[in-house]
Amino acid sequence: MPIKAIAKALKLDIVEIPGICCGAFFTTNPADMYGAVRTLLDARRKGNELMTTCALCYNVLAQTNFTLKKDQDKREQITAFLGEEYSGEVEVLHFLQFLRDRVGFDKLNEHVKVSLNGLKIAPYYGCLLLRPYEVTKLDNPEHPTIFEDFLISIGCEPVDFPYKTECCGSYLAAVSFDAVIEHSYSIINSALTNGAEAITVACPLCHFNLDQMQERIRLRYQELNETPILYYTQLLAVALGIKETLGFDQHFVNPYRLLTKVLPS
Amino acid sequence: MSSQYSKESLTKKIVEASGQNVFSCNLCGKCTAGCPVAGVMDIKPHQVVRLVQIEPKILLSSKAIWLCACCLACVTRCPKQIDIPKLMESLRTMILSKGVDFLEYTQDLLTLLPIQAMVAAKGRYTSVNLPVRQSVRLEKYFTRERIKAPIKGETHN
Repeated sequence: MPIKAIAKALKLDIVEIPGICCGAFFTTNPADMYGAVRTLLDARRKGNELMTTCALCYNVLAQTNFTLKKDQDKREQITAFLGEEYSGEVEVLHFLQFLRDRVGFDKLNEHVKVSLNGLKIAPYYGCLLLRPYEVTKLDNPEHPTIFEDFLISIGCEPVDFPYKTECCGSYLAAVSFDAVIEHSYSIINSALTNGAEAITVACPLCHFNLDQMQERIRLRYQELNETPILYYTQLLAVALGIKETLGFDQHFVNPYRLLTKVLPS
Repeated sequence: MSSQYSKESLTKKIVEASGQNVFSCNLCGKCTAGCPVAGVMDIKPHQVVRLVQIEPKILLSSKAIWLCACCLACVTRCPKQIDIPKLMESLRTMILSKGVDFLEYTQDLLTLLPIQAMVAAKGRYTSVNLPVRQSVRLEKYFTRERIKAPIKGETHN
């Protein structure tokens, strides 16, 4: 995980908590919230803010927090089961939000060691970072700019494209490949026609749909060029000059073809 | 399944379970216009809201409720703030609570899907746990070496 190396390079004051699986998707059923609440309880023992790099975790934890603040019944039900009261005290932050509000993108720019100049990256937000707005309050749900600001601060050139806040289909691959293939194609195609060389994502399911499913998309749409899909943390780690393994070898579309332009050999 | 409910009681049940006032819908169609999966849905999101009002039984056998990805684009754009994913969820829960599983883990899916998608899909499409017998990819999680319980009478050195 590059996040530990990033935290070291930026001298961030963060502590890792044990935590368990948050459930990957928020449902209104309290039985599905236990994982998220236990993680939030773990966080409360260490401090009052919980930061996560994953969009799924962020969304589930933030929505659980929001629900428990408001819903007396569910709170009582969960307290009875876990034996510990939790009423939404811990503030849930996404890493991008953390970088913007706690570190500052200007400060982040000062830490950049490797120039990513000339990399045209399309920031793909997906749904979970931005919606529902009254819960996440990360940025404007229709016209967000936090990802663009982040990319500028690490020296990339952000590419604006109309599909940046559209849903890629997330776990729908489990029931319908069609829905995922059609939508992921629109997203990649839209980014490419606007001049992007790669797409950056914040969510593991966006990465799966755009990267791993790209082979299937390209079977149907052969004119589509291979597009590397990178996590924002990988780009940040590259910009900070982190030498650790960043998991590029586990991608399905080879990102090295693009990165050799900027990576020091 | 649908025969168990009268029309009015089903509408009432969905409204109560989801907490959404479906009767305030304008039928403007913004939800359908922005829905990423409307193209493959048999009943479009705005039609779902209308059907909850007039003929909710049809929805219990529709494909649409299983195709909603909960991306919340419709909620963000709805002028009446109707949470359609919550409507879909309450309908799904109604079917799943009968012990029916919508998802079948085929070999193809198990080797393809990442663990996040499996967990999310399990929460959405199944009423019980993952089918252990069929899960090839998850086998390593189930067959890993466990801590052995101490046998009665055995003493620790």
